[in-house]
Amino acid sequence: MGRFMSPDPSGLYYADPTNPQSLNLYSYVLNNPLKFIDPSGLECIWDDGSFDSADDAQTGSHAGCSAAGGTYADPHAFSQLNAGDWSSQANSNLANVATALNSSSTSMTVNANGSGSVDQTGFNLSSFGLTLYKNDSSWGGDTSLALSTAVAQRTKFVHCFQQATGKNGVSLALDGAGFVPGEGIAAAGVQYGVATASAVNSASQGDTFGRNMGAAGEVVSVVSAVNSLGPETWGKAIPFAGTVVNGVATAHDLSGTSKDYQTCMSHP
Amino acid sequence: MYEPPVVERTDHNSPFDRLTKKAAWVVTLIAVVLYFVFEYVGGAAEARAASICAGMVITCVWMRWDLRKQTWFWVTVAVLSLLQVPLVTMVPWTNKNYPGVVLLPGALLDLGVIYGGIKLVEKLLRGSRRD
Repeated sequence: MGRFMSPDPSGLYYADPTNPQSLNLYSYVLNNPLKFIDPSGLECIWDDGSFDSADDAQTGSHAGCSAAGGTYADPHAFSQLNAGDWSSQANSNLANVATALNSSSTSMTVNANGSGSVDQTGFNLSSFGLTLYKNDSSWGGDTSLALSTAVAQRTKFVHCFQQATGKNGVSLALDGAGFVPGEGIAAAGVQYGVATASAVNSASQGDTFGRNMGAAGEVVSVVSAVNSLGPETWGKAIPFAGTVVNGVATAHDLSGTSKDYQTCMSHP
Repeated sequence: MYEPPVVERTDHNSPFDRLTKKAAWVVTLIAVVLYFVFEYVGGAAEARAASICAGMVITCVWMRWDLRKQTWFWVTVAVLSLLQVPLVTMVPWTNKNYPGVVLLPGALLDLGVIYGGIKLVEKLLRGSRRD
């Protein structure tokens, strides 16, 4: 159709004030598909942060861009990650580009053998199967391909992590809070409920009832005896049971979060 | 003039006095390990119910550790544990995440039933011996 069904997600990032057609977020290749194509959405990025249009005859391909000294990549992907002016490292290797990607929560590690990894908020990309190698043949020496993969993986990781923790986060937070208190508000609430039940049982003379009702009465009598242990006794049992239940609930929530995350990451 | 008693009265006879924080963490650790074992064997929802039940059984055993040399005690614990198997396997437990506070009343009920069961058997046996 040569026309987007929804506005270009890049917004006005690529807008060129000298070319009003670039302000049209529904147009494809400046509304001139006979002359221009944009198969990948990648641009040739320059050190000063500028970039050529996809139709540029000299720099509209990876080879042409590299030969001209730029980096062929999707600048929008980096702006989404709030990565700053990464293009200042356009001519350097992965380590330098990743350094340019560096934000307060991101760091790059390059090992002696040339392998590297990107950390974000404590999670290592290599932990979900991505290790970057400078000049590695698996990337064909293609820095932008390695970088795009890294960014895609990182974006997916952030998405899956947020999705999994968002789904289970409230329960996990409550579980965490529940450990503080085994002696806390919740325990106190149940404790006073039991104290009330105990008082009601005492008032109903459970023991007397028990003596007159045979085995069934014995059960009532025992329940009454357990209840009549009073709030001080249950005050020990409730935090104890609360700690055990919180532990199991936390294990369940963490396990569920992990599974949700893995399921999300396994989807292409 | 008031003089404090030479020996202060202490009450360490209650089984509930054994419910210390240290014991709570030990039982929690065992229950969590059991959770992962049960989860490996079956589903997560059943594993949660089973490990909470197991935790409450262990709690009761710990509370009545003074009866450990009584055969009837272990038989009672075994029977009460077996009675919980249908509870775990036949009830359609949900896999939704619920915080511990929500699960606590059920666990306390379970604890009360197990503790009450042991207490009941103890009372019946003592009564029959007295006769």
